[in-house]
Amino acid sequence: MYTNSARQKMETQSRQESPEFVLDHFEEVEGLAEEIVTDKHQIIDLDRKRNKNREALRALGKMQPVPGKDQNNIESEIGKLRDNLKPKVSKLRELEGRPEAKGFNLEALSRDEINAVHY
Amino acid sequence: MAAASTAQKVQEVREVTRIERIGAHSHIRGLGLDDALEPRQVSQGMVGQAPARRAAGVILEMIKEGKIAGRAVLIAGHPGTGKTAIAMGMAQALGQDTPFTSIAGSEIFSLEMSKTEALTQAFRRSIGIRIKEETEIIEGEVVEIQIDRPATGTGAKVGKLTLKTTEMETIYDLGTKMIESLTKEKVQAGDIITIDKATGKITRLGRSFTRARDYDAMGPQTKFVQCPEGELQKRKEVVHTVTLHEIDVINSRTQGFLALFSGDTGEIKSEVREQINAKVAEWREEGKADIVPGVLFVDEVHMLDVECFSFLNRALENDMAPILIMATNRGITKIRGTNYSSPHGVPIDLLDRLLIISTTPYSEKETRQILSIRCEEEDVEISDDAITVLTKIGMETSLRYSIQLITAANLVSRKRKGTEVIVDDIKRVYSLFLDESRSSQFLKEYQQEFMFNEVGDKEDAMET
Repeated sequence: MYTNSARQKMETQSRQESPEFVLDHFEEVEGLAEEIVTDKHQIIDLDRKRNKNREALRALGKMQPVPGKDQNNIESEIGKLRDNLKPKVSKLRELEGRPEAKGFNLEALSRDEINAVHY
Repeated sequence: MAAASTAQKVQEVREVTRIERIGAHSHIRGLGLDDALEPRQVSQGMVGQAPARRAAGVILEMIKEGKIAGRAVLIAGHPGTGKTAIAMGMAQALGQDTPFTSIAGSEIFSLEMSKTEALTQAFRRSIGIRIKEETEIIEGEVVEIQIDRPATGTGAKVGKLTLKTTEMETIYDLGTKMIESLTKEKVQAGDIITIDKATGKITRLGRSFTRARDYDAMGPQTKFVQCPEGELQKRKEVVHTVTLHEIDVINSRTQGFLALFSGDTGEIKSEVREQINAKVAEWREEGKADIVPGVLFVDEVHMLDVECFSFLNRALENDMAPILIMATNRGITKIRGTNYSSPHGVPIDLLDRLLIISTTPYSEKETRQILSIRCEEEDVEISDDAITVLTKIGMETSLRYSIQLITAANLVSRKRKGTEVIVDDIKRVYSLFLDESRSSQFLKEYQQEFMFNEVGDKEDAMET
């Protein structure tokens, strides 16, 4: 009574409407959102630490033009977290069915390049 | 579910506040189509004209998907049948991000620049480039600023700045430059500020809500902002859309930005444009820029001459070309610059490339609906009888004439301290302001009395 492709379509549809599929999907979305929120909190904690270190170094009179090893480590940690946030947010928007934020994946222009095209 | 909603919201901020006047087409908010691209009878300011709106909707989808570069559309129909309105509807539906340039055919002719330059500028105004700027900033609420002048006469000032967010607070030591900037910006405790790490530029965003009750009277410009959340040192990414024309102007003279305001851009050298095109192509390859082809709307396209049409043919073949939408109410007319006639005054080789949408005059019911929408837009209360009379007038004379009577009738009704426009008000403005046919009638009867009258005999009014 039904063609093969029509049957396949109905099977996919019923699988997608099954409670297991819906549950899995929500699990994925929530998990990803959790990760993003955790990363954000981690960035906040690291920034707090960085600031306290800086204040301490100042107080001890040890502030050098190039920040110490500890500070550098914190900087790179924060950088890594931020870089990883972007693909996660992108994926989350995709899972939620929202359109991609315009210009999200563009490479940033340098200061000279920006001045050449925008006021 | 809380996690999903709190995670990253990407902000969309419009850079410039727009003050909108009530114009002839300001009531148009879109094409008024449903999800199946079928036009609703009355929606988003558009009324009737279903086949044309349906066609426009299909073209709109093609534009959004980026599937048609350098295609052209012609909207043709009687005067007052919604041609410009449909173009406006398309512009609104495309949104703020897509460049939409609207010009009238006769604007091309100017003493300051050649026709091809004017057309090239119009085209390049309709092609956008999306770019991103990334900066590290420190954003927080000022808790305390402490600046110490040195005890001896000379010597640099030193200072400390305490900044906080909802999650943390820290103290920064200030150098001379930063102290100067802070003093110049008149930063006080309770202000929310941003410091650009790379340039050291300070921006005051406003005052904190918690400090709203500090003083009984504040200056008129005081804006209250929430205390920033999260980390103090943030990475800020801003996406801009600039048009190719803006880039041309910035790069073709030293004080480029003034030219953008005065419009006096003059002729831009083609070498400059070629270099810009090359650079943009390079950025596109490197993932640094997205091209956003937009729409160029040319109204009264029958005013363009045969040279302009040749130019258009070529320009449409460029791979970055925007969509060209043209409108005209002429039938078979002479092509300007030649002695040949052609449909709509457009050469046949260009007509061949066009998708043509035709508009038809409105029915009485549609005219009534349009008039009601305009009354709402112009904030005019009107009685049912008055609208009926106005509709009749619109059908007999023209839609535009009856639309223009609305505000005039409103003034008359306010003068007599009425609450709404009634039939008498309409009658009064009808007798005061003539429409085109009555005006021509009058002219025919009294043409002898007018100055510079060419139709007629030797006794010219000029004698006096």
